[in-house]
This record gives sequence, C-alpha cells and structure tokens, in this order.
Amino acid sequence: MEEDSGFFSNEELETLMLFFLDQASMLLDTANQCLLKLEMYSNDAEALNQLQRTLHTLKGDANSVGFSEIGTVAHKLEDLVALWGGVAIELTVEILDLLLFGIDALDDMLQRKRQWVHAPLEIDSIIERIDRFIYKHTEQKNTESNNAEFAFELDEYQKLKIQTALENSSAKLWKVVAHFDSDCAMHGAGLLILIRELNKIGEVIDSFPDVNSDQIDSVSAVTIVLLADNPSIVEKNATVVGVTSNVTIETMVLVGSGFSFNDEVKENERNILLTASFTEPQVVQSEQNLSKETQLQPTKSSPMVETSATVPATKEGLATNVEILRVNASKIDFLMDLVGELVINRSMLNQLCNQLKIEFPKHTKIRKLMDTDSYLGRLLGQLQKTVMEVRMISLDQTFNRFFRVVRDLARDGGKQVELSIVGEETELDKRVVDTIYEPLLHLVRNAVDHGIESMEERVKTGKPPQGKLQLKAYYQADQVIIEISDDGRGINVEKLKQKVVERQLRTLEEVQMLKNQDAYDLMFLSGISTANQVTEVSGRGIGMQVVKTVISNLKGSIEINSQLKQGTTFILRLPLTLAIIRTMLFSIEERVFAIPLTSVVEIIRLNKNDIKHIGKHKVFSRNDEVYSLIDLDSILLGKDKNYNNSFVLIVGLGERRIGLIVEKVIGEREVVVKAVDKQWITSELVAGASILGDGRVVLILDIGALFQRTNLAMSAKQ
Amino acid sequence: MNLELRKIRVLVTDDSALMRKVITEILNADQEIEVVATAMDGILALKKIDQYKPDVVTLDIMMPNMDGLTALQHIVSRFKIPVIIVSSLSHSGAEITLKALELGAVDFVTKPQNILPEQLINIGKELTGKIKAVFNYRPRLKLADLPVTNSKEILEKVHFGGSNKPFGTEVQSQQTNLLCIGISTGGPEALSFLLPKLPAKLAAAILIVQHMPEGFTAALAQRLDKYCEMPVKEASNGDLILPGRILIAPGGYHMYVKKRALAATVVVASGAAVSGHCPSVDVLFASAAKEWGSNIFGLIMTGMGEDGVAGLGQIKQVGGVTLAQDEASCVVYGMPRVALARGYVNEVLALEQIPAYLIEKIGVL
Repeated sequence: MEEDSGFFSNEELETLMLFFLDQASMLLDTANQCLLKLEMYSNDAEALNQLQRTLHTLKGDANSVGFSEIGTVAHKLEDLVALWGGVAIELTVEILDLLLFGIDALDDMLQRKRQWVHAPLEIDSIIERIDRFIYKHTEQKNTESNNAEFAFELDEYQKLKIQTALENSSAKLWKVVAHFDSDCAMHGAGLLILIRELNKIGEVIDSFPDVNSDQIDSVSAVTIVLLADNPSIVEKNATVVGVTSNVTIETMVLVGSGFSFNDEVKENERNILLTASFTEPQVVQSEQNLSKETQLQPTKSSPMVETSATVPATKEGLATNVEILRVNASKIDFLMDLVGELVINRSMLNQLCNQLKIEFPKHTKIRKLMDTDSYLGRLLGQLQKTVMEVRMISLDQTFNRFFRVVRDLARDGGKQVELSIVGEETELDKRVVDTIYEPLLHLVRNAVDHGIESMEERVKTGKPPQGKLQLKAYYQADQVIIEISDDGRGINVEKLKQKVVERQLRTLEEVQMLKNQDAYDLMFLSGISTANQVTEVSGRGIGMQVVKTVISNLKGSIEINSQLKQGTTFILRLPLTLAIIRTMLFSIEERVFAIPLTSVVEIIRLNKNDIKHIGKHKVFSRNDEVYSLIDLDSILLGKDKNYNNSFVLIVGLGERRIGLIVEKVIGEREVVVKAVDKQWITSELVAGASILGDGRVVLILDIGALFQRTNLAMSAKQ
Repeated sequence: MNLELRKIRVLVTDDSALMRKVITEILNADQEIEVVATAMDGILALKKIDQYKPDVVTLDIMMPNMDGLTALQHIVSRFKIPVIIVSSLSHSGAEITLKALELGAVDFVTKPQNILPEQLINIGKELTGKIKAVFNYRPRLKLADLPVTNSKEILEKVHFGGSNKPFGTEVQSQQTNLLCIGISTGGPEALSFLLPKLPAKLAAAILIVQHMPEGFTAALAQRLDKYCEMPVKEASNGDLILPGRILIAPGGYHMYVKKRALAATVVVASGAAVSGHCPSVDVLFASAAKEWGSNIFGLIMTGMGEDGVAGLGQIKQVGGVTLAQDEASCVVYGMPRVALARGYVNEVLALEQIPAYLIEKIGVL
C-alpha cells in the first residue's frame, strides 16, 4: 500500500513546489500588468480576461501543490474581478485597489513559501476584507427579492399536501412559534413531543429547524408549519409542560401556483413562498448570486485618479506561441563551463598546431591538421554561441515589474509619472537579468523620489505636471545598454561637490577640477546617499555605491548624464554574457592583460615625446585632444618605465576617453572569464582572469574602475 | 508472436505549466499511456495534434489565444479524436464544462485540488481510466446533425407510418409510466440529443441518473431545460413524479422512487457510493422496480463500468421494458454491453432510434 500511494516522492514534490513558486511570481507579474492596464482603461476587455485567466491558473496551481491558502486568496480575487463591469465606474477604483492589495498579499505569501515557512499563512483578514466588499456591493440585489417576507422552503410534496388540505377541508395553515423552556435539555426530543401533540389536532407539515438539524439545540424557539382547524386548540397543544411555552400562532397563505406541469409548460419556480405578516432574521439567501450575477461587459472608460503611472497600451499581453523547455540552470552553467574549458583547450591545440607547422613545414599531415583545427574552432564557436543563447532571456519580465513600482512610488510621493519602456525584448544572460533588478529598482526609486519634481514644482518651471521616466534597452556591439532616464530636476553638481567636501570624502581642490561627467562619479562614493546630496528628501534602499558594485561584478559599467532642470540618465553597460568575452590582449613585462574589446577605441604607437606631464600626472595629446594616461606598470607592478616602442590603447567609457600605456599589443582574443580570488588579487582594477592557450594567466581589467582611478589620480596629483 | 502493446498517445493541453507537468507525470506513470506532447493553448494544441497524431487529447478550458471550447470544436470536426476536458470545479466552470460535453468532448475530469497522495491517485485513476475507456472512440458526425430532428416529425412518423395504433387516448393514465435512464460517459451529449426530441405531453415521468459530481447536475438540468419541451429539473427531495417531467438526480446524492399517500415523489438522500457511484443507476432502477411495478421503461445508455446492470435486471423481473443503447452510438460501450451479456435487455437501440421508439411505446397524453 505504501509504495502504491504516491505519484511523487518528497523530492519530486519539492521540485514541483519550486516550479510552482517560479510560475506563480510570473503569474503575479502578469496580474499586476493587467491591473495597471485596467487602471488606465477600465474597459480593456482583453486585460480583464487575462487577469481572470491568470488568477484562475494561480488558484489551480496553488491548490494542486497543496498551498491552499494561496489558492483561496486567488479564488477570492477571481470573485472580485467578476464584480468588474457590474458596478459603477467609481467602484472600479476601489476594486482595483483591493485587487492590488490582494496581489501584494499573495506576493508576500509566496515569499514566505519560498523561505519554506511551514506555518499556515494568515489569510482571514484579507478574505474578510474582500468578502465584505463583495457583500456590500451585491446586497442590494439580495434584499430586493425578500424584503419583509420570510421564505420557508417546503418541498413539492409538502406543498401538495397543503394545497390538497386547503381545498378539500376546512383546515387552515398556521405558523406556530414555540419557545423552548430553559429546563428542556434536549430540544430534539422536545420537538418530537411537540410534533406528536400537534399531530393529534392537525398535521405538521414541517418544522424549522428540523428535528435532526445540528442547530436544534442552539435555537431558543422552533417554527412549525401546521395544518389545523381550530386555533385555540393549537395554542393549547403547542404548550407542552417542561418543553415549550410562550407560543404564538399566525395564519399563513400559500403563495404561488400549483404543480400541474402539463398545464403550464415551464414551471421553474423553485420555492413557493409561504407568507405571513412577520419578519424574521433568517436564512441569508443566495450566496451564489454574488458571482453569477456579474458580467464581464466592459464599462465606459473613466478618467483616472491623480497619481498614476501610465501603461502604454501598445503591446498586447504576453501572448507568445513559443514553446519552452525548462532546464535546471545549474546544468546550463555546467555546460557553459565545459564550453569554456573546450575553448581554452582548443586554443592550446591551435598553438601547438602553429608550432608544429613551423617545425615540420613539409609534413603531409600538417595541412590536414590545420584544417581540422580550424574546423574545430568554427564548431566550437557555434557551440559557444548556442549555449550562450540558451542562457539568454529577455528583459520584459524585469522591466514590466516597474509599471507597478513606479505607480506605487508616484502615488506615495503625490506625483504623476509616466513610465515608458523601450526594448524590453532585449536579451541578456539570465544571471545578469536576475541580478539587475535590485540596482534598477534603486535607480528607478531615485528617479521617482528625487529626480522628478512635485507637480507644483514642475508646473512652476514650465514642465508638464506629469513626469516622464523611461527604461530603455538596446544592443551595442557585445554589450547591452540599459538606460534609465527621467525628465526631472537633474543633478546639481555644485551641491554634490559641496556635500562630498562637507563629508570630508574629498578635498575641495580634488573636487573643484572635476568636469561634470567625472563629478557625477562622486555619487558612487561610499558613505553618500544620493538623496542627501541632491535633494532634501531622504533616500532608502541600497546606496549608489552598492549599485556600482553589483554592476561591476557583472563586468558592466555605469555612467551618469545629467542636465540641470532637464533630467538625468543612468547608463548601464552590461556584457551579453558573463562567461566568454572578446578582449584585446596586451602585455607589460611579459605579463598579459586583457580589456573588453568593446571599450577599445584606438591603438596608437607611443613616442616618448608625446607624453606630457601635468604635475606628476601623465597626459597624452593628439589632434588637440588631451588624454589622461594610465601607466599600469606603475599601478599594478609598482615600477616606472621608459616608453620607447610602447603603445597607447585609447579606452572609452561613454563619451570619456583615457589612454592606457602598454608595452606590447598581442591581439584580439576570446577569453573564458574566471572569477579571481580576492585574497590573491586585491586590486579593484582586476575584474577577472583567464587562461590562455599556452597556459599563461591573463588578468582582465575593469574599465569602470580604471576611469575612476584616473579621476582620483588626476585630482590627487593636482 | 509477441505483440508489443502500443501505448495510448495523449496530448496534454493546459495554460498552466505546472498543470502540464503534473498531468504529464500522472499519465506517464501508467504503463499503457504515453504523453506525446503538451500545449499551452488551443492554437498550439491543434498544431501538435497534426504533428503528433495523439489518440486522446486532454483540454483545459480557460486558456489564452484560443480557449478550450473553440479548440474543442476544431478538434472534433477536423481530427475526430476523443477529447477529455480537465478543468477546475467551480460554479461557472460546470456550465462551460457541460457546453464542452455537448460540443463533443467525451468526458471531463476535475483538476487535482491537492497533492495529498491518495487524492492524487484517485484523480490519476479517474483520468487514466477515462483515457483508456475512450481512446478508441471516434466522434462521428455531430449528434445535432443526426437525421431525426423534432418530436413533431417523430409523432407524425409514428402516427402515419406502419403502426395504425392511435396514440394518446389509448394510454391508461391510471398508472403513470416511468422511464428511468442510467447514463455515464458521453451522457450530456446523448441526453441533449435525446431529450429535446420528446414531446411535452409524453405520457411518462422521466428520472435520470447521470454520473456527475455535485454542481454539474444542476447546470446540466438548467441547460437541458432550455432545449427541451418537457421541464427538466435537478431533483430535490420530495419532488413530485409527474408525467411530462424530467428529474435528474443531483450529483453526490442517490435518488429513490417513493409512492406516498397523495402522489409519487423522489427521495433524494446522501449515502455511500453504490456500484462505485453516487448517484447510482442501480439505486434508482432497483427502487423504481420495487415501488412502481410493470409500467417502467429502463434505459441503460453510454458509459463505463456496470452500474445499472443489476437494476435493469430487477426492472425486467417486475415486467418492465428494458432498453440498451447500441454499441455504435455509445461513446463508451460498457454498461449496455454488460446488461446485454447478462440477458437483461429486451431491445437494443441506436441513439437516433430511441426518441421515436419511446414516443411510440409510451404515447402522449
């Protein structure tokens, strides 16, 4: 029996739950997007449909992995959605808020499940809140149908009996209410006695509650429907010593028609009412009306609330017909590692081939060997590209989450912000996409909280009251660029410098000479929160320095452009993939270094005379342009050098350029990036390492760090 | 010769990735079943049917792009493959599920509600059982397109054709005729073909046990009521058994026949499953045989298993007329087959013959 009882082992069940959690957050994202669309256009039928489907799926999924609390809440939200269109426009705003609240609650619940919190989740308050809302907005319908009348539900045979008796005898129909005596311990038995007594003088049709009802002991009185002739005897017989007292009787009439189904073709009335002139708080009717009576008809579009993030109604949903195979990410990581090893080995092989060719130029097999090697290289290239693509996912999920974020931030800050998203289909390595959300969140928060002005301030400065925020992604060579731009007040550089000096992070002299773009980098200094620098509002979340660190860890860089009163743009440059990058190799004193090829602008042969000194700092001028020079020799190896036969690599980061003095340029090479142990290499200039075909280790430089180093060196030496 | 049994090829359609996974794993655990593909919406399902030629399709109803009902119509008309609806049980879900059954889905299963081992195994058994029962079935032409169309025509046929027996007047209304129907898989579709063709004044009360969970039978009754001349109602306790009226046993309750002082009524009561079902056809048939006597017609129709077979035997024993739907018109030829094998059946009829037969034998008021 044991082994027969489960389809899924515990392990499989756990995998299933993880799978659920993954799916569920996607579903919640979709639900959020639908809600934001509905906030804009309350008659967006497609969004409404999608929302309902999404909640339906979530409910089903949650129930099937045993997360019944999540299922219950999703179900309630479904009911709530069903109200949409059936209520006045003003109410849709309330429903929307409640739905958003519910989605957030679900999100929290998922979070707790993700942390394997096994304690049951508290859902009563939210369920109650939704129920109350639904009840409030459907109760009118309920009360209309049974205002002052108390409906007994008698079955057809009972009604037939009444009808027959009323027609064929002098009997009348009575409603008898008898109160149980306080010393009647067993109401059920008491009721049986009472019925027996009444049957002596007439016929008991039914009693409420029923003898066998669970409620019988908790009620203080019982109501009996009785056919009898003489009211005075009724009252007497209904008073049973030790059982009942305080008896009232009233006549009743049968409302509704008979049971002749052949005369009246369709007789669908379920309950024929027995009415009397009394009211009683009883039997809350028709709970099922709630969900059934509502339709999904789109209603007129409503003007929206003041604080809102707007959703561009451009793209349709997430409708894709792409079939997806789900694979454990660690397997792909492993595959990528293997490909990396292959690339390294192949370059060793390639090197050997080249050596053999030199040693045995006449050997007949050499040609064949070379061909095979280069074919291997091509295959490997394809393999690498494909594996890389497997790891790529689009930014749309990540980007779309910001509609909700911006909406909430804007509302909290009493602002109007329109978020537009461009290039969400851009794909990046999954690990980058997963990591990028937090830094983006911080930047978006900054933009809404501090960048975009209040409505009054905007109007004063001649801007439209609604602020604009854009998230934009696009490819550029081997990189993906993500820009976060707002049309807010921009960064006040002078103020920023002042703060930095005040905090004694840099001296006045140091900051004074920094040009705008370099000055913005001051924002990344530790111990500074952007909020304090730029605006008076306090900031929250991770600091800019952390943003910078995260981006650097991803082998990316961050740059800031800002125009006072015009707005600020943060530009993130991220490698397409983390594992293999195209680099320019160069060497200094037999040590090999690499920098990402995308950042190399130009390679120039260096004459000693080209180097100028500004103070102790070296610069290089060419065509009226002056570049700061970085001498890796002195930085990394701690030596000074003569520069005969050296080269300068002009390296670019956005608009900025610096020169890197190198001894020998080796060439372009794809390298497999390996993390470096920070215990061995402490320089922040090194982003990673790799192994070359001949077994040599190469250090990969961090461009962002190089630029920062230059700024500091410049200002320090000044 | 060792003939390797070919597995039943199934396509699983559901917009929830989790559901696709769960259902696939449940089905693949069965030796005789193989999930050949999954699809996340109707459009993909159609594409994959073309590509993989499955024997059976499981279909969710709420899906993006192309919903289940639309896909179902395409599958039935274009591919003629049996479709089993796998949907979640809810009020509005019952209504749609019934519509799906009328549109040609052969059966339905409610989605797993909880992965407690024993619940899952039940749902698994239900679904695999149903797949094995229907995989050979090929939806024929749509039942609505079958030759016989309305009761007037039938009446004319009966009246003028062959038999010169006048109807209506001859019927002794002293004792009402009782027609008891027991039906399972393929039922909603067959009933929605059969019942609308019966005239309002048919001289019999009709009691039906259709194997279905709670909630679905009410929706079934409401739907049928719209199409039928006779009033159709989900039975409640104490409902009167009257000629020209159709009562359907509510899901989760047994329905008994009871003669009382003023009229005959049904008794609707909860109870343990009988012959594997609640409501059970055997319960209805047996109580009808006991209470009613000879004026009974027992009709056993499409469905798995043998619920109703013993009851049909009892009806025959008390002198009632016993009828069984024929193999060709059954979605699943189970209950009628067993009844026939046991020798309990007076007459075997194709679905399209049943209305005319009943009108002729029972007559109208």
